[in-house]
Amino acid sequence: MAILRSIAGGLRSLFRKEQVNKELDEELSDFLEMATEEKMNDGMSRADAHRAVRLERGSLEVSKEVVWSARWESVLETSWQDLRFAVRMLRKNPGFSSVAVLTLALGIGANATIFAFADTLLFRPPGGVASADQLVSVWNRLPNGNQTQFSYPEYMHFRDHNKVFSGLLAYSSDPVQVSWVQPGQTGVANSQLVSANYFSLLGVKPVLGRGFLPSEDTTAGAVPVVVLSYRFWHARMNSDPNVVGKTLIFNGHQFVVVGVAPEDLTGLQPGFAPEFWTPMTTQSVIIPGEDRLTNRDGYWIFAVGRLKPGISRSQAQGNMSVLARQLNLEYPGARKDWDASVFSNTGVPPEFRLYALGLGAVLMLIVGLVLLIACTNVANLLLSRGFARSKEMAVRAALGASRGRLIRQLLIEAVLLAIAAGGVGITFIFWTGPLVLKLLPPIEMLSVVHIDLVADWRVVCFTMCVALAAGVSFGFAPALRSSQVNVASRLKEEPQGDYHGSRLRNFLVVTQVALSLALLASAGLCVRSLLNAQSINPGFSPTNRLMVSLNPGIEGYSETRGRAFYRELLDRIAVMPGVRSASLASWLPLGFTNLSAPVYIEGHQPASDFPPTPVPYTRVGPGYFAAMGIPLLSGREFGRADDNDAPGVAIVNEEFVRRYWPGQDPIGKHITLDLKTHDSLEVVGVTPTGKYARLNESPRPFMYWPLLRSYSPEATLVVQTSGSNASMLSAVKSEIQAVEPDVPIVQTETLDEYMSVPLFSARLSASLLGAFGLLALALATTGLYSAIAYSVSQRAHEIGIRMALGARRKDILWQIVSEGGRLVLIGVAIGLAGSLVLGRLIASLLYGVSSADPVVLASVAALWMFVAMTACYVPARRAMRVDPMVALRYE
Amino acid sequence: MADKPSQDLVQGTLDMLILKMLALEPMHGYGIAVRLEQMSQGVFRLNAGSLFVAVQRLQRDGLIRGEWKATENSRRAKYYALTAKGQKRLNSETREWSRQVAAIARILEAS
Repeated sequence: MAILRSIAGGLRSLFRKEQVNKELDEELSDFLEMATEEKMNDGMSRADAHRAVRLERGSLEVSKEVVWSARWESVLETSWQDLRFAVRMLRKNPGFSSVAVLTLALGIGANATIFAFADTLLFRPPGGVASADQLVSVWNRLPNGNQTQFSYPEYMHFRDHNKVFSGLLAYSSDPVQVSWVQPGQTGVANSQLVSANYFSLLGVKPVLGRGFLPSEDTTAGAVPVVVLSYRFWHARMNSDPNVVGKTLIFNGHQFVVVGVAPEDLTGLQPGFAPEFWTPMTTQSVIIPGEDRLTNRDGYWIFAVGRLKPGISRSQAQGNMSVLARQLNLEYPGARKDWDASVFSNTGVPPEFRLYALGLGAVLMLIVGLVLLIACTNVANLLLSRGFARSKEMAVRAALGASRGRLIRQLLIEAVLLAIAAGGVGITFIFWTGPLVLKLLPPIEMLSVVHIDLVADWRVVCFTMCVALAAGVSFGFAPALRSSQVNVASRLKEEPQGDYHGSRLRNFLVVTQVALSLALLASAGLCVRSLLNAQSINPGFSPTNRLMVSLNPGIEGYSETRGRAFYRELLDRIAVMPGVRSASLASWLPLGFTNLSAPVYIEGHQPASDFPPTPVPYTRVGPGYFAAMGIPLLSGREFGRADDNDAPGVAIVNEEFVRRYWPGQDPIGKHITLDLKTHDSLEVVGVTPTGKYARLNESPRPFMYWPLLRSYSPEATLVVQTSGSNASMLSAVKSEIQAVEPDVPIVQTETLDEYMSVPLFSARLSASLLGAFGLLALALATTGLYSAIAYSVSQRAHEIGIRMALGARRKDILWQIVSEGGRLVLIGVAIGLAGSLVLGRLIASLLYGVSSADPVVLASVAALWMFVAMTACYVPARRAMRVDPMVALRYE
Repeated sequence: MADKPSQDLVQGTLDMLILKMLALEPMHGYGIAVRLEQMSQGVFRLNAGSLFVAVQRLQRDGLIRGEWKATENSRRAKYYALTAKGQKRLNSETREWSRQVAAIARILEAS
């Protein structure tokens, strides 16, 4: 009650300030008047009485101030005054303000960008979904603690028997590419298979048409249906308002459009936005050649449930575990001790969450350091300005402003700068975000990657908190320093030494040098690692080579027709002008597909019940090794004769030989695929060990099988051209269409472009850290330059005296440069130590570089010394030119 | 102004003393100061600032209320009077004060 009344009284005096102050005025002056009258009654003159009262009772003005400042609302009011004053001061110095805001905005913007990515991948609930907080994702949990997706029959079990969800939906976890035939061209589009309750359970209202009907889960109907994404409808159907009811041809089958999803629905997986959705019943058309709906061994379903009202996540977890155990009993062979896990459906799937968190944390640390450098820069600016403003401070102090009030004033100015910088910085994410996304490999398969950075409330809150924290931290020390004024000497215009200020300034310079050196060193490590990764020999030669991924299977071609297509294609490509050789592979190494086959290796069988050894492999056509530029160490390459009628053959790499047949001649040895049918392959050749899954992998065994031995519709054509291959790409494409016009071309690119996939992580870290490192260098250099320049300008007087006393210009130059150099040396030493720590943190991002790489550390230190010396030399030269007479007269 | 070390004590007691003054009869600011000075035989001499800070605080706490009235020499002045809540507070504070004084006296007189 008392608090409420006090607040009411406070508000009253705030809003009726005039009235309240007039009353107080009247009361106080009455008080003093009455006291004066009493003294006069005792016989004093009016003037004497007045003076006596003032001594005894205090003056009117001071009393007013005392009473007024005892009110809590006076703090608000003075803060408001300070704020208005701060705005005026900042507007009066647009140069200073804009430099400070821009510097900070760079640092804050970097933080906002990285946080916006983390927000998208980890924290932001999927867009366009009603009550996203009720959604949970459900996973198989293996006995070793790993999570895996569901098979479709497993999903149905959980969907039909759970008691905790108002619905459980399913969608295909891997992006599925389908051919899309339009008049005149065959394209590729990214699709997602979903359960029929997908849209209704998510609470999504299509902008046109409808979602799926429950019946579409069980029967495909005469013509299968499709719901388009807004993006697809907008970009590829020209926002056709009459699209519902139209027919599209995917994988050679007709689909009728029944609806268009709203713009904000981009799927449930951050980063992967399907272009259209079809019901599960269309699986055999969308993913031909497989029956995933009855297959219990294919784990490809992401399941997402909506919790019933009042059901907690742990209750759901309990129910899911029960259902998982029921399944274990039904399928004891396949599911031994499996469990189910329930996760929040926000962000990337749990298996990637830890990775994303780790990378995010490292990047946040890096941008945090960049911001720290920006802060020290602005602190330095504020410090210099504080010194220039010391007269103003002295005047205010003389007029009765307390030190606390001065500090508050200066802090408010700093925070104001920071908030302005936060506002500018947050706009950075809209152009830095797309810039980062440009680093993705330029291959068609990644067109499904779609990340929209959004300034949602989390990003805004984060950015403003960072800005506020920055404002207080860079504002505090200069405010403390600048509010320390010696009123008398300052007002008397005595020459001022800024000694304490210069100690603080030196500290800031050393901090900046150290931080930026550490950042630059990690950037250097990442660049070196990228160079290393690029120079890693992948085992084949990417230059002057093209690749085209084909899949006649999705057009429903039979094996005979598919084989004939590939045979004719190879014949025609081989004789094209500009082509030196061409071949096929089921998949290329270092891509997204890595498969291993369990095999029994001759002579490598410790026990009869020894399980088969999994060895990674690919299947390649005749002439593959020539076309890819892979040398053969011994034996021969596959030929046309190595097909399904010929005895099985294989080619292995050196590491395979070293590990399984050390010191023996591998040619003629056997690898058995199936002990029962005695299906085995004879080794006919050996290649050097290349890279197969990752560029930084240690040598691993690898084997090649003849492509023609068995048939599968998917294959990648590799073409070695004699010259530059940009023009060859379209020539090869039209040659393919000449053979079979309808065959969907899944992906075309040069092998150099393809190599950007394995190089992606190295390139990403080199680009990001490189950019941040350069930003840090630029900020720290300007910081150092302005600090030295300022100290020179402060010491013009001293320099003038020294020169008048006979100091040579060279001495002055040396003095300035050596003072700056001393700070830089200290900073470099601390920074080198810091870069060892930072290097350890980013070690997992590096290819073949030690985190304490001496070349990088030495060159970064040298670069810094050079830049720093330049930053010192320019102001020092100015100091050298100081005219002693001018400097002395100036005071 | 009061000496710094005793300010807290004075502040607490000042509120109580003002309440006591107003319990006798409603009066204006100067009246409070004069009466307090008389009754303390000159020991407590209030300056305008500290008096009105205390009056403002008591008013906001709802212990006293003010009203503009004409004075005996036909001027306008704000007269303060005790509220019921102020009376209660005065009683409890007087009791507490006597208790403390008695306790302090016992301590100081113990030999």
